[in-house]
Amino acid sequence: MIKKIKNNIPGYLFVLPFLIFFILFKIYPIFNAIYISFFNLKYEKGDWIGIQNYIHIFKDPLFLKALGNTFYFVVILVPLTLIVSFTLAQLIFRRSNRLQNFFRAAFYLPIVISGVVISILWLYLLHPIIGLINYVLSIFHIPGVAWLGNTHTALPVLALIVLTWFIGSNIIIFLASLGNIPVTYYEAADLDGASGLRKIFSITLPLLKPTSLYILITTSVGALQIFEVVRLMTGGGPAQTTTTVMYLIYNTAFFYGKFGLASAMGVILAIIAVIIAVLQFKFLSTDVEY
Amino acid sequence: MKRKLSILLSVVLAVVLVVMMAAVGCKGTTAETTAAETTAAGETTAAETTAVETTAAPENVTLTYWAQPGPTELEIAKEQVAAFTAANPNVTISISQMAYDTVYEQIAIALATGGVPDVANASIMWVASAMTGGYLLPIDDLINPDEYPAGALELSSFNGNLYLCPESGAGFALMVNRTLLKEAGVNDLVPDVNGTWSFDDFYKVSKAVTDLGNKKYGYAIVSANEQGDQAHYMMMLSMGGKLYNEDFTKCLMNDPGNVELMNFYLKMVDDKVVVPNAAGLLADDADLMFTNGLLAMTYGNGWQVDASLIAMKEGTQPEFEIDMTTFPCKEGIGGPFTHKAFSGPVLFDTKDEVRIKWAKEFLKYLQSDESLQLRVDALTPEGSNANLGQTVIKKTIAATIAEPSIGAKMNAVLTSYAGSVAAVAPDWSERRAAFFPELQKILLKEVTPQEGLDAVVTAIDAILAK
Repeated sequence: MIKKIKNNIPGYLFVLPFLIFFILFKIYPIFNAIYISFFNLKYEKGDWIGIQNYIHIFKDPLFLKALGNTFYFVVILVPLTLIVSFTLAQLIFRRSNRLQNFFRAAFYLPIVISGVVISILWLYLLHPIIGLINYVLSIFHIPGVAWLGNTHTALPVLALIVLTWFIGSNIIIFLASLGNIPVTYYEAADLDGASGLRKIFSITLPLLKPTSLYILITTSVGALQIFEVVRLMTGGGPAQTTTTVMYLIYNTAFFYGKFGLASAMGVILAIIAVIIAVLQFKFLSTDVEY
Repeated sequence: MKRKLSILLSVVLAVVLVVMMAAVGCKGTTAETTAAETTAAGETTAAETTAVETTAAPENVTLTYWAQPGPTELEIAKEQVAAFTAANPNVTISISQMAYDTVYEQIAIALATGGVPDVANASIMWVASAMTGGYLLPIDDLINPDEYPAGALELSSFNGNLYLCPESGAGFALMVNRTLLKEAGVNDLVPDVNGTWSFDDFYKVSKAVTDLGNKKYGYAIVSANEQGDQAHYMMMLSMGGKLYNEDFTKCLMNDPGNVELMNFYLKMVDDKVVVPNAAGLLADDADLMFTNGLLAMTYGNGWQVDASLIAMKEGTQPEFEIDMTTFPCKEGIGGPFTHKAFSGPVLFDTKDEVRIKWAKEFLKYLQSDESLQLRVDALTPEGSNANLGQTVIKKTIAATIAEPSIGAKMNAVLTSYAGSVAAVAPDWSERRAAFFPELQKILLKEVTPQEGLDAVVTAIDAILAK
């Protein structure tokens, strides 16, 4: 054992710098946030109040509404991301290398561009007076829509905008995974007279299960953390219909100065994310190897 | 031997990586940080700058000063700091600048982490929470109250103590595009900053200008977030409504006057005489439409008017006749009504006696006629006497400003200030955030005006009760 450790010393030393900063800037803040969530900390002043912050949170109608809005993103975005990413990856995969490279870059572009820039761009596109989308509608004599000012359309519109960010990297991941599936399986299926759809459901999807699980978990966690579009495009409105938990945490901490309460919200969000990830692992994990 | 060399190399590389990453992490986080150690501009007369007299050798001290956003403000700050440190060489002042879009976050993080500056030049809105939370030091003993308008001092105080020195004031009311008003034939209905006008005339003007086909509108009701909420508060007061009781312990926004204003808003929305999508309209949207000549009236301040005039001169904004007017008011209420916001230096409690002592000296210098003249000179565009809206209001300096700009005229209406929007009461940010979601629900007709305002009162009273 000691000899094994001695042999691995160079490796440990190389990992050490990252480990120090990971502990300082990731692990320590998590425990610190849990600690201050038991205080009524406003800026730097606060007293111990036990679980009062947590009780207040679950009694707060705005937090419950924000939780509902956040789950809306999870429920809508996760399946849509999986379906759209997979479908587009399938469509791209069989094309020539040049076309594949073009589409890879095109779909990945939203991720490379700053989320702030994209949000502002969409603000102009969706503007009720000078926006391009309403202008196109007016050409077809369709009345303009207050996309972000209507309680029925604001949240779905934000979800669609976020979808354009989420699918980019997932298409790349699916493409890589599709390339790992042995061609022999498809050849055997062809010999058995399987249709294209049958091959997708019987070969492709089962063998992509590990990849799908990864995308499922990362998209779920990403959907729970949606903040940029809300902050920049709707401010949580109209009538709090787009307020998410992350946005609420941000306002509670940086506008109201209630760091204790905001930390408690953060802890709850983290617990929810862990529960979702554990459930997904438990029910959807697979030991597929090929 | 090979193994020992490998371990040694690993150790050296690990140390280098740690040091490099630590060095990157320790880089200054503010936009610009300048240490002004010596006089930069030869024309500042260091001899006139007050040097603090001490019997023993003055202690060396480094202060942090946060300047207001804007390139001109940074230049003003540098000149002021250079003059002060030339007269007091034991003091080094490091200048940082606040960013307008993130000023609340910047202050909140500073308060939470103890990284507050010694002196900051800020708007009362930005430091209201710091003031009511006990993070600022009172400055009553540093100011001669006779040199400032009483209303300005009142709005910069909390619990009987003065916390912000009202160096400059911005008058907020309605910016108007008189070109659009003249085209619609209603220019005469809109008074200048010293006049009054009715809500009926306000409606008529908005209706006359609004041309849906050409996407021109009379007015914009903005309610997407807290930006621009002061316009609604001023309109409420102008309609005869109330906002808070005298000691700001009870919210009174469900007053019948305010309900009447909400019904007036709904009428304007239903009659399509305002920009559509009021519930989702940002203040920035309205500003963009106004500066592009598509909106006749919008909430704004003298600074914005002067900035527009400069932009028109530079050709970066379409030209039109820009002016300011007051909010309309109900007959018998009085007026003209404007909203005032004051900016000036504040002292943060750094709990360091030496730093506090010199921070007070620096604040006293900032309020000297010499220092304020630097501000006036810097904010006056070349070739004109226009003052960029935020006029210096200290009586000795204000009296010397000739041919005031529109913005400066706005500030001359100081005595007509309508009523406090209670920015200087606790939890200003949280109270603002309780208002606009209910306003959105009212505009979307999800609740009646009375229900919406009752919900505002319930939410704000709960905040005030904590």
